[in-house]
Amino acid sequence: MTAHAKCAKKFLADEPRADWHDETLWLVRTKRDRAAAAVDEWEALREQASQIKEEALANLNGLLKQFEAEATKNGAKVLWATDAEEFNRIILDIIRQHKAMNVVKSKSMLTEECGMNAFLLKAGIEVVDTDLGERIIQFRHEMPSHIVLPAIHLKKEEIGATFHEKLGTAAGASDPVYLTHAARLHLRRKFLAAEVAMTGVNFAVAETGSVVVCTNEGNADMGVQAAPVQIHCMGIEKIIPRQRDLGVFTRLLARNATGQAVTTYTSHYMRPKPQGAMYIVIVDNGRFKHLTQRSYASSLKCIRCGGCLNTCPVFRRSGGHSYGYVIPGPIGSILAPERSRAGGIDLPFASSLCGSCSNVCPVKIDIHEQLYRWRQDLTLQRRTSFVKRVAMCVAGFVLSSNARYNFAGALGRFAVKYLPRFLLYLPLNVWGKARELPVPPRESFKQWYKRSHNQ
Amino acid sequence: MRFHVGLFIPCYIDTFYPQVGIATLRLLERLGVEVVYPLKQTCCGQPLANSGSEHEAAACYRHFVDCFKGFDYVVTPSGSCAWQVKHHFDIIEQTDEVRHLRATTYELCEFLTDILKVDGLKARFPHRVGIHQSCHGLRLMKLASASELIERSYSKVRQLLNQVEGIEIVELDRKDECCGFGGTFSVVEPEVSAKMGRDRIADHERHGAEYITSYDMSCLMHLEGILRRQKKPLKIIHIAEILNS
Amino acid sequence: MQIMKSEPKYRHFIENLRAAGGEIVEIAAHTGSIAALFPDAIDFTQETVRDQFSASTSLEDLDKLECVIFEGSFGVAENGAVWLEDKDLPHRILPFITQHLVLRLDSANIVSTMEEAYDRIRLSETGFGVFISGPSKTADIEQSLVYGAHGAVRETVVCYNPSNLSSKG
Repeated sequence: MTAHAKCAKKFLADEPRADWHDETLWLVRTKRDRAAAAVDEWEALREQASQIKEEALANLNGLLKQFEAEATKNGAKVLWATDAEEFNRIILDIIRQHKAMNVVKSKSMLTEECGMNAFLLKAGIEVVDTDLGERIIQFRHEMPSHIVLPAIHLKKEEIGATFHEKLGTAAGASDPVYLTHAARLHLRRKFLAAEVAMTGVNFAVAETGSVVVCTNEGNADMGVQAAPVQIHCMGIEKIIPRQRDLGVFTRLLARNATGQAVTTYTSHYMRPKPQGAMYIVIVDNGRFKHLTQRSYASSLKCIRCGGCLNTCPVFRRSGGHSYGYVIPGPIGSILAPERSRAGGIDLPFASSLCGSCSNVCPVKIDIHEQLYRWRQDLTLQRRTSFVKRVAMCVAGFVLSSNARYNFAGALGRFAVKYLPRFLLYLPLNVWGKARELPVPPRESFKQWYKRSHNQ
Repeated sequence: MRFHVGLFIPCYIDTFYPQVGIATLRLLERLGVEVVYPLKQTCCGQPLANSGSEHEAAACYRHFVDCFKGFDYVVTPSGSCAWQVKHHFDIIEQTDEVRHLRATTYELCEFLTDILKVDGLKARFPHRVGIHQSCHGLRLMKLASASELIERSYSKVRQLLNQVEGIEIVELDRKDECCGFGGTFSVVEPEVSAKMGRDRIADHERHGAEYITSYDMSCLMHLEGILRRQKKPLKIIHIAEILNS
Repeated sequence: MQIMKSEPKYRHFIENLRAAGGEIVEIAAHTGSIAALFPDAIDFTQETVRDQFSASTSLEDLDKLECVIFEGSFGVAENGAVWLEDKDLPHRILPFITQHLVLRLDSANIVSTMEEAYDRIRLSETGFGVFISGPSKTADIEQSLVYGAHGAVRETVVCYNPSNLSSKG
């Protein structure tokens, strides 16, 4: 069994809970459908978004330079990191330079990817995650299980228990309004004391040198506007060419993510606040190399809406933690084999290739095609198991010849018919764990055809 | 009709569900199509490609082209296998024969609606039927509008089933969710695959279906395996069998 | 939901703002009495009030604000968002730190879509700008919608001059 399959088995062991996870995310998917259907030109918007992203990736170097020049003119300091280590060091340097101890952060998958929190903690800096879902899992020392809904794997009773322990909420209390209010009070104190506020970046506009951050909670702004120092962390692929391109992406992002027409706050950071400092850290960490892989470059168009996670029948029934990569679900499964340090080679196989992900993707990434392509490439690169490669070689030999194929078919029908059940359903027969084998017919279609057509 | 049609019967139908092949052949013949079943045929190679070994499948693809050269159309009762030929036979040399084959391979339903333009089919199936929209036929072959896309609603499958006397089509909660077969996915991820299958079955059961039908027998093989293990009365039937009933 | 095409932008704006959790108050004219509606509010549309606050006002003081009023530049019909930028904000944190955010909006100042919205904005001339659609919200606990995660718990948009528009529908 692959690593994902093993984790999925554990996830499914509690079937009612797995059903709850599935139904919760399916509800998000249906909200998304309604929101998308309310926009007549939805499919045209997707096409536009896809083309803008392709244009941006094709001119990435030029746009990044333009962005840096404009942002610098605006008074921001732009810094570059080639990898996670350099990124973490840059962040630590900024924090130390400003003699800060209190750091708050709104959601950023990039800082998760770089393991920044753990790095800073070793250096004595505790970063407070301020997105409610992120704060919950930070308290619990877990990873986000979803890129938009980080605590979607948790029940409110579990969150209530965590808050009781960490925030002193009433024992046994699990009302979401009560718990959210407790978090609001707790995090207000953190915001007011913050010396440095970090955010991720949804879009970086080359034309104006501004960064755009979308949140529902308002945590990005509570941090950025309260702290004297603001740091925006972005991967190189967040660049879009023009201000007016934002019109396309802000119409798509929230509708596809949660079914809202727009996030509550769409914040545009142009210049540092009076007496404040503004940093923008631009990170490569394998992205430039990824862009050179022709079949997979378009995965960098992703705007992290999470739509493909919500629609994925496998994700909904295996949970984000089963993927073992910072970005779970279909999009993560095509990023991981290139970018995950752990390899992520099982992930392209953790899909039924149903294609729903590609259909919901707001920037039209051909996710299912890339999953298929990765399967081929991982096999050619000999990153899949030896036994499987040999089995496939034999199968190819059988299927390329009529005589060999006919013999194998007869053998199969004979086996299902005559082998005793215990032999047929050996533990190795994975098919038979939850399903019966087909009832073997008296003859194959081919035999019937020959008989009835006198051939 | 003067079409010279090659009938491609996918390997699992040939081996385990000959009645589906027979129904397909008889249906096409009833509609006046001249059908030839090339006896040397084996498989479209999808099991290999799906597992990441399409390079091992090249010989199989060439064998397929060799079997099916010279037809006006190749028709198969499988959306998934039709897609395999149309889309994934791009790794072998693109001779005129290969290009023609890829352009003229049809899944049965779309051949009936788009080429034969069948109207007023004589069939009777007085049962409550749920339609399982197998993914490759739906999202890749576009046999019907997919729930994710904001597009005009259509379905070539319903267009045909609506011509069947006595049939009652049940509406599902999730009209086009994957059943979890996914080729080798069914054995690489057995738990998720089986769970997806159980969930699909439950949806059909909730709406009182007697039969689950599809244009892909592979999905139905998976669902049938679960149904029989669970000893449930719900039955599976390939759409060719309904249209030929 | 074909409303967008057939009904006026204003109606659509209101529907979408309500869907986002925002409240709507309609008053007859620009001069209409907003103070009576929000007696405890601090009205930043008045210059004398703006002058009492600055970027150096302490956060502890701002944290005590219950209700503040700003003038929104324009609204967006398709999502109920209102654009605010820092030239109208003595301190950038104000619309977020307050418990209740009140935005005045001229009903004639509504665009249909975000594309049109970005045609009206000059990002290069601002330091900070934000679209706000409804109160702060989260659904991070079991997807239960809760208002007031970090920003304002309530948002009210006060639309003035709506009578000028209703005849156009």
